[in-house]
Amino acid sequence: MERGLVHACAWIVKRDLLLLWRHRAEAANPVLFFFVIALIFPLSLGPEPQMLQSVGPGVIWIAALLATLLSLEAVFRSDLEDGSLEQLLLSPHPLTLLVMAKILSHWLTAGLPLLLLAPILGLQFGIAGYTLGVLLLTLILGTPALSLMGAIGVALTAGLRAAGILATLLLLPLYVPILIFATGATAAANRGLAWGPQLYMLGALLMLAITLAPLAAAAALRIRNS
Amino acid sequence: MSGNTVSEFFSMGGSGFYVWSAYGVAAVVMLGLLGSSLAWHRRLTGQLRNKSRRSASAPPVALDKTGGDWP
Amino acid sequence: MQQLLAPKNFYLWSGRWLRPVAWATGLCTLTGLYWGLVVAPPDYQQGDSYRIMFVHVPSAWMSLFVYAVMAGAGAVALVWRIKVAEVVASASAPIGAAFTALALMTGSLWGKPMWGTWWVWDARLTSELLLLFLYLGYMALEQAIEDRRTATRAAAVLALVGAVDLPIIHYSVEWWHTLHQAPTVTRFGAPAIHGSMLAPLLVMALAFFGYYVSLLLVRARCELLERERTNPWVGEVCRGIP
Repeated sequence: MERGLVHACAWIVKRDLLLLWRHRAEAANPVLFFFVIALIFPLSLGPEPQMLQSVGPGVIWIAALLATLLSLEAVFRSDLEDGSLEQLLLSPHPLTLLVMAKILSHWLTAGLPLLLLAPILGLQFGIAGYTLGVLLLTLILGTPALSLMGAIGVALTAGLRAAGILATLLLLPLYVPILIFATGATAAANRGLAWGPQLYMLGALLMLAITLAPLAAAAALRIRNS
Repeated sequence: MSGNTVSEFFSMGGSGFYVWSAYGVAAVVMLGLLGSSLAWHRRLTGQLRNKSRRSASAPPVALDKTGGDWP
Repeated sequence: MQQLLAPKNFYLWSGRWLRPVAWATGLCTLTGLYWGLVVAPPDYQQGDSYRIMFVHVPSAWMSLFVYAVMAGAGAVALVWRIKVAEVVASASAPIGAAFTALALMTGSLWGKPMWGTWWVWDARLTSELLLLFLYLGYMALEQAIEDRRTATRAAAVLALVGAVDLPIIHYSVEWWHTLHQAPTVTRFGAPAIHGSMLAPLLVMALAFFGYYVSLLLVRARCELLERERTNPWVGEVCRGIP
């Protein structure tokens, strides 16, 4: 049974990654979106390096948040279309853990690329060295939390008309603490202040999301498909 | 109240605009929601009364017994 | 108690209680308004503009209380599938959103004479704005799902997630505010409120609570009729057969 569960979760992750590889061009869109959003900020605010450096962490975080929201829409879409969502619901394994596997594959395909590209954006905003490290730490702790809580939003709205905008509306207020602590930590590091407490809070939020979000998302999936 | 105290009352020590706007907004929102809810109830009961009369005068069909007795 | 959870019994019971609750609410409102606007003395710092407090503070209190009721009823609906809990959750959302919007608007009207601007990114105002978006998200989700029962249960999940997140949101916004506090904003502390102002405030709070209860009953009755329209009791009740 235990082995079966691990197997099922690994199968879900592998399948999602494979599907993504087959639609490579489509999968790159959220990453491009991440870049473009960050690009329009200097164009609308002006190129002063001082100012860009101070708004940089916030801009990169907003871009990561919007890119995550954009990519979340796809988490259950293909499963809903080809009927494998029903298979998930009928499977003998606990749905919560299967949902966890879906979230993991979402983070691997949407969160991880942002993490890898963030240093480039950081350099463009004049964030380097020490501050850049803290920014990356906040992204490491924050983007999984975005994927986890996002899964609740997409599970609630999967298959609805205008599901994407609805999920965004539901999720943005819930994302506020993540955004505040992540940008707070980076801003503090930027000014040479202590950034530990904010990072601990971010870690606590991630733990809370890991514990509760898959449960809520699984409950939402069951309700929507009852 | 004499005329002087009435105008004093309405001027609210100079901040009458803000005080009365706040109370006005509260009254409009709260009474509006109340009115629309009462209208909803009246519309529903009217609709359902008519429907129920029509089905009562028609010959009885099998009644839906499935959802009647659960909380 | 068990009996009350049957939709028909709840409908009849709420119909009996609606009138007394509404009268008591009306009485409280008139007393509170007279007390707050005429009897209570002007504040030595703010003059008369503080009287906005008598609508602002009860709205803000009720905005949180209604959310708690909504999430609690949602939890009950999720666990025990009680229809009355479903309609209570569903009927509470627009009322709570209205209270939240009122708290924001009256807060803004109070802020103008007090702070000199319509809006400051104050911790409480910002949290209240986020609460409004939580309510609107709840309502949007409930509207988007066609089946009423599924809609309420799905929205209940969202309400519970929001209930867990709300204290965190509030705390984080508070922290954010102390970090970014603009020095020009004169924050006036909240000294112990004088009894002559507290009494009308409590009466107004009672009036707002009564308003919520009456409106909740009306809207819950509507939701019950909508959801149970195929049940025979609905027709009987509407035709006045007890």
